[in-house]
Amino acid sequence: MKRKLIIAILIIILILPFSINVKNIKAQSINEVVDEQIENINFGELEEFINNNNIILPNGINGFLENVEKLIKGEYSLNFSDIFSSVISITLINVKEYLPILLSIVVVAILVGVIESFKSSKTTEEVSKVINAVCIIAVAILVSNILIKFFIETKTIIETQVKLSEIMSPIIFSLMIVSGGNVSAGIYQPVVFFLTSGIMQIVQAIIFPIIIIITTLTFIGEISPEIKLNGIKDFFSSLLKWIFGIIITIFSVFITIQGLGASIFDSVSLKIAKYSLSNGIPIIGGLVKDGFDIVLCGSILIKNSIGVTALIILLYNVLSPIISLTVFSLSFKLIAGVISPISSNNKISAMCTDLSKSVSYLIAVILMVSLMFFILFLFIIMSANTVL
Amino acid sequence: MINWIVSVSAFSLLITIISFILPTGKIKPFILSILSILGVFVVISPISNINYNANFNTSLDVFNYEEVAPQQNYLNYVLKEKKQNYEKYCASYLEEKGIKNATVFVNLHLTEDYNFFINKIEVNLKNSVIISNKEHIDIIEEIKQAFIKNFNLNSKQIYFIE
Repeated sequence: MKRKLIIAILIIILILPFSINVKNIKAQSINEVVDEQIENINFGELEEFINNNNIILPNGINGFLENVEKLIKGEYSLNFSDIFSSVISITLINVKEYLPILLSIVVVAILVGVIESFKSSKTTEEVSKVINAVCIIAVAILVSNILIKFFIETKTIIETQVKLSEIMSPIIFSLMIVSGGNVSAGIYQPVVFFLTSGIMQIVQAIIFPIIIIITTLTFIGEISPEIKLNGIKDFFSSLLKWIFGIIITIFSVFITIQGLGASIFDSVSLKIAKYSLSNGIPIIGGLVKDGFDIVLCGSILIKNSIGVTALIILLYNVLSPIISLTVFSLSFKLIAGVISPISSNNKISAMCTDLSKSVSYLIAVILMVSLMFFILFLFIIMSANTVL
Repeated sequence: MINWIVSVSAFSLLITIISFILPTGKIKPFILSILSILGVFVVISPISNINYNANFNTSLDVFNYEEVAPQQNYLNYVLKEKKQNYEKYCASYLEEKGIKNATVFVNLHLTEDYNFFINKIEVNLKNSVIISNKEHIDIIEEIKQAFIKNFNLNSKQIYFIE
C-alpha cells in the first residue's frame, strides 16, 4: 500500500511539469529592440547635413548613425593621442599661415622706428604724425583680411551648431517621449528654441556688432593722437563682458532648475506606473514590467548615444576654429611685446595688443555658444534616465 | 549700430585729416577743440533715438517658440510595439488564469501631450476554452479587476465578448 502511494506520488511529480501549459515568453534581447527602433528613426536629414557641411566626425567614421551604433555596442573609444596630435598639427599650420603677416607688421614697426630715429628739424611733427597714421593704416589693411575671415568662420561655426541642434531636436524629443520623459521633452523645447533661434539673433544683432565696433575703434584710436576713443572702447568691452555673463548665468540657472524639476516629475510618475504593474498582476506582472521596460531601455540607450555623439561632434568641430583664433591672439600679443622696444611711441604695439583682445572676444562667443549646447545635450542625456 | 560706428569712424578720420592739413598756429587748437565737441555729439547721437515710452513686451520671437514636432514614424512604431506587448502579456495572464485561445485587443493611443493611454481592452472569448476549476463568472471578474487595477482603467473600458 505504502509502495503504491509512493509510486503514485512520483508519477504525479513527473507528470506535473507537462500538465501546466506555461508558455515561455521569450524576452527580446536589448540589441534586437535597439536595432528595430533605430530602423524606424529617420536620420536622413541629419546625415545629409553632416555630409553637405563637411562636419568632422571622430575616428574617421563615416556617418552619424555609425557613431551611434558603435557607442550602443560599446565599441567606441576616444583616441586621445589622435586629438592631441590634431591639436599640435592645427597649431603649427596656423602659425605657418600667420607668419607672413606677423613679419610684415614687424617690418612696418621697424620702418617707423627707423624713420623716427632719423627725425630732424626738416621733418616736422605733422610729417611724423602722417607717417605714423600711414603705418597704422598699412597694418590695419594687412590684418583686416584675416579678421574678416575670423568673423565669417565664427558665424559659420555657430550657425552649424544651431542647425545641427535644430535637426536633432525631433529625434531626441521622440526618444524622450518614448523613454517616459514627456515633461522633460516639454521643458526642453523652449530651451532648444532659444538656442537655435534666439542665440543666433543675439549674436548677430548685438555681440558681433559690438566686437566690430571695438575692433574699428582700435584702429581709429591709434591713427591720430588727437582722437582718443579708449573710453568708448572700454565701455563696449565692459558691455560685452556683461552680456556674456548675463546670457550664460540666465541660461544655466534656467536649464538646471527646469531640468531637475522635469526629471523628478517624470521619474515619480513612471515609478508609480511600474509599481502598480509589478504588484497588481502576480507572476506575469514582472514580465509586463520587463516588456514595458525593454522598449524604454532601448529608447534611453539610443537617446544617450545620440547625445554623446552630438557632444563628441561638437568638440571635434569647435577645436579647429578655437585653436586658430587662439594662435592668432597669442601671436599678436607676442608681436606687441617684440616691437615695443623698437618703436618709441608704441602705437603699433598697443594696437596689436588691442586686436588680440578683439579676437579673444570671438573665442569667447564660440565657447559661450558651445558651452550652452554642451550643457543642453548633457541635461538631455541625463534626463529620463532617473526613470529607471 | 553699424551706421553709428561708420559715422564715428568717418568723423575721426575727418578730424585726423584736418589736423594734418591745418597749419600750425593759434587757430589750430581752437578748431580742433570745436571739432572734438562736435565729435562728442556724433558719439552720443544714438541716445536721442531711444524711445523711452516704448512698452517692452515679451512677444519677441525669442520667447514665442514653435513646438518641435517629434518623428511620427518612430512614435507610431513604438505605439504598435507597446500595443503588441500589452496584448501578448494580457493573453499570457489569461492563460495563467485558465483561459486558453482568448484574443485580446488593446486600444492604445498617444495623447496630445505625448502620453501612452489605454482607451479600452477587448477580450474575445468566443474561441476560448476555460480549463480552470473556478466558476466562469468568477474568473472573468478576477481578470477584470486585475486589468482595472493595473492599467488604471474603469470597468466600462474592459469588454469581454463571449
